[in-house]
Amino acid sequence: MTDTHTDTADFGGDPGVQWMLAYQAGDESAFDQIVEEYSSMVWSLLTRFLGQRGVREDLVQDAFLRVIRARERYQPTARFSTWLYRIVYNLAVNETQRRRTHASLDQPFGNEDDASSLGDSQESTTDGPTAELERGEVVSAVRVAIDSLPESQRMAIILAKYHDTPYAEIAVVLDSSEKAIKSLVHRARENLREQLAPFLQRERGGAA
Amino acid sequence: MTNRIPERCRDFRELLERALCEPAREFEPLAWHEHLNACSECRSLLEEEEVLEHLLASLPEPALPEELTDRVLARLRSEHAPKDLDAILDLDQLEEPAGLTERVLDELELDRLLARAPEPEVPAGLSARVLVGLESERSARKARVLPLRRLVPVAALLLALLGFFALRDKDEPQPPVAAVPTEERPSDEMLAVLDLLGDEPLWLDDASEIDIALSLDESDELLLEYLAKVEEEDEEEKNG
Repeated sequence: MTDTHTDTADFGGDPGVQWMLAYQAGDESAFDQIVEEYSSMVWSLLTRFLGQRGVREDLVQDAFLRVIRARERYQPTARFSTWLYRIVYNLAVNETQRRRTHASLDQPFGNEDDASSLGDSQESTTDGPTAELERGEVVSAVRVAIDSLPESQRMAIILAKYHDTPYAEIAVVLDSSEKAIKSLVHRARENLREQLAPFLQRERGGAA
Repeated sequence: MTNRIPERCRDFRELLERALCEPAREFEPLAWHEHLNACSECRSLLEEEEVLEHLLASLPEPALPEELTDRVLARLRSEHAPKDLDAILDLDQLEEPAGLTERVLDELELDRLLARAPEPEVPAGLSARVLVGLESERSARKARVLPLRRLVPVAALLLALLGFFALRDKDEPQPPVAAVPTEERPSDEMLAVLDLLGDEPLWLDDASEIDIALSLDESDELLLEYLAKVEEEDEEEKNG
């Protein structure tokens, strides 16, 4: 499949892999540790992929339900987070397709009320109201731009930019090659530059 | 698009892409500076990429719902039936109801006590006395049954005769109608049946007569002829 496969032994030190193997061997408490360690990661990835209002807790639950179902056949062929990203990606794509079939009832993904979602942000600011509005505008535009990307490009750029995932692991998540992922990220950045052109010009002008 | 750009630019852009997406990797910035001083296009691209990085970094970290982990775990525990089923099937984990052993031992002791109870002694001549006591009631019932018993031999005789005629008529070859002498009388057995029936008519109305006549065979026709003849003679005697 890819040029990224690594020996199983390489992941022996990964705590997620160790917990999963313990869970596979019958240690139920190891599963609790997996959920405690990775639920925030799953939530963040789903939120970035589907949008702030698109994520429900039952999707997070579904991700771990798949972990439970894979208990018997699990093999540590990658870092645990990579394996879990793959589960989340499949879930997120299914969710996107499900929404597409109900497109007439749902709002477009990129039209979330980002001004209100800023309230959920963990980021604090001491800027004045105008700067905050501008920041809200930029955040909204960036979200719309990311949401408009094709699914594989979107997942690739999110994993690369926000989850510090190397191309080799993104290739495992997307069942592709590292070279293909490089190309995918390149196209994603081109699309983002195009979508965000007004903001890029403004920022560059302001900086100049 | 990449085919049109010079090779040095292509190398720089590849390095830039890696630097942007894999910040952990180390690069040699001096080589960049040399190329950037000479190439305005790549300089512009670098500025754009830096701004894009800044814009992407402006996205806030998704806010995590409070106690998400606890809720997810709680839901998974409630929905993950096999885990619960394992616990149910694990008999070692089942708690023994309080006082169960004592109750079982009590029940066993009760069974033993009941088994040890002596068989009741039967009074001598009990059966005979009971039969004597029931004698009058039994006699009364016998008296009511007697009249019915008298009819049983009569009914049995009738059934035997009817069966006999039926079998005889069935087995014997029937002579053609024309060959039967009109003066032929019924057999002695038939006459005995008629005596038993007395004066009661065999049929009650015209409709019944027609129905019966339709199902008569030749021996029945002879009987009917004979009965008609007897009837005529009776009438003649009455008139005479």
